[in-house]
Amino acid sequence: MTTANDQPLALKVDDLSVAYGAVRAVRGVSLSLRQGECLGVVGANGAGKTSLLAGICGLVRPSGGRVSLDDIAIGGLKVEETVRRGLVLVPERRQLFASMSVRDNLLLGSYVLGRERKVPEQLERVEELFPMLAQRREQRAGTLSGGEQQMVAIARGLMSSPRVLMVDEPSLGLAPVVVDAVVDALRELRRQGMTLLIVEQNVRLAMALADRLLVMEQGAVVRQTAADAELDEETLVAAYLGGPADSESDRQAADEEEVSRFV
Amino acid sequence: MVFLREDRDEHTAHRSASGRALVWAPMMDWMPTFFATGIGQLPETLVSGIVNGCIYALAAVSLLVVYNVTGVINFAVGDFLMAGAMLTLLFAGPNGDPHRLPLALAVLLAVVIVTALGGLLELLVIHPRRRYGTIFLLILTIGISSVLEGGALIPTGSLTYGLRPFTSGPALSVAGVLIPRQDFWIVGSTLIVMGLLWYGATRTRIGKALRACEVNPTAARLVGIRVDRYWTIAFALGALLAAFAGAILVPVTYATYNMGIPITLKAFVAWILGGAESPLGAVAGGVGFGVLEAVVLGYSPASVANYGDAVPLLLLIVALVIRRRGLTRQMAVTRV
Repeated sequence: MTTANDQPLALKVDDLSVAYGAVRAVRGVSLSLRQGECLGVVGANGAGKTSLLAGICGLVRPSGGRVSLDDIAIGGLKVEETVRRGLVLVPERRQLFASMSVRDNLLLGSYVLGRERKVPEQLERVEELFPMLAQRREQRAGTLSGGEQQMVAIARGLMSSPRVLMVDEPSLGLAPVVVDAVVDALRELRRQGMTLLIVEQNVRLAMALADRLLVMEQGAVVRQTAADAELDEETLVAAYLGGPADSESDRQAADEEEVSRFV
Repeated sequence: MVFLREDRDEHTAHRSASGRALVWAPMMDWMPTFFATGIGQLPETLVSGIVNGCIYALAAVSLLVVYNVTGVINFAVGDFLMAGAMLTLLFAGPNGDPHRLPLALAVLLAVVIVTALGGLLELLVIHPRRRYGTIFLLILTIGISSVLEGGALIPTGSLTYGLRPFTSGPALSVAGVLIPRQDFWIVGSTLIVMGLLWYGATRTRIGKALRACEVNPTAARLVGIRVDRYWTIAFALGALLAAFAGAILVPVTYATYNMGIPITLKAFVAWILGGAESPLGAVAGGVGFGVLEAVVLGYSPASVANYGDAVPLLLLIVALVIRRRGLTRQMAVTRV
């Protein structure tokens, strides 16, 4: 698996915190993402993964920390503005414009491009990635199946040709066979050089996609895999439990049950 | 603006010459003659209802646009209509004053000014408080309504004003029914405005973005739509629709500083009757209510008809009790 250590940083998050009133959902998370890299963030329900993404893109105002995109500080900007700078979130549960057609959903995805000529080109690109979109152009987005809606959501995110695409729980609520299709599309995107930040509860899925993994627990990053590590089960277990991948096998066995909660 | 206060006698003369009056004006001298009409007047009554219904429809769609995008019930809709009527009068001059602007220009200018006013009031009054919740914002729009009314009272006094029809001449006879020329203007231009609105909402970038704010505000932000700006746009568009209704209405009714609130009330009834969700529903509600009102008032004895403004209130209660989901359920759009 190629790593991208020589590439410039696309996204850098420093000590980011997100709080809802007294509840601190994200506590000082730092991460960085090189161009063309795919970073997976895993963790249990309520670990703060979604809040992390919301804080990065400005959907929620972070209570502290810095975010920069291509070395330009974007921390504290609202999501409407960070989208313009090329940071796009494909949200949890997809958030489509349910009563509007697939085509209109996609066109709204390119809203920030204005009337640029790029729009038809982008449409073509995403329809190539998800051929199903071309067949369902006029269908209302709300009437699509869950998997199709996820594809529309990802495609809509791509319409503004973002620098970094953040995808929140792409597999949530989808049948396994549909998940495969979504994963294939994300893989293809990665192959095309898209910088991806993927949040997943399903660790196997995250592993199949990402170059590196961060594990979140109670709002903080508790483990991460090395940049050049092969992402296999052993690394994963190590990432969850700490220590090198070749740590004592009896300890691993004891805690594997813990891991399987996420897997 | 003393110049508004002219031609009252001539205006009154014009009214009686047209031989038909509108049922929604405050109780006035024409009422007894109007209600003296028999069943033979039914076609005229229906036409009158449809014409009034167009005005209600425009005002109801104005309410709908503002509500769907912002969640605010704009109680000032009737006063934006009044402002459109008064400004059209101001620019065009009552009864063909040659020193005033051409009619088309007067209407355009009035609509542009009220549109800007709607956007400006949103920016200055609603915007800073938009997180306060719907009830607070509703009360704010009641405040805007009072201010607009007061603002109109100062230059116009409590007098009533009328304008010549857009095209002069006797009423046209369609299948034996006499229809005043302004009625064609009202129905025709309402259809055109609705058509333009439909085109704008479904075919233009700004229209789609406006609908996106309505369908899913979070998703709208995620694709980079500055939802706050669309609040302003929605209020401006709402004011535009109301002002236009006022401009086309003023030749067939009296304009007074306080004409707004009854219209707001009726627009609200039309909006609820139409299901409060789709523009088509609001139009159907507006026309339906106009016809119903015309028939009820047209065939009531004067003693009942004098309570004309109670009709929409009664209907509102009935509508809310019986059909809380409106009449156009199948057209209802899912709000996410």
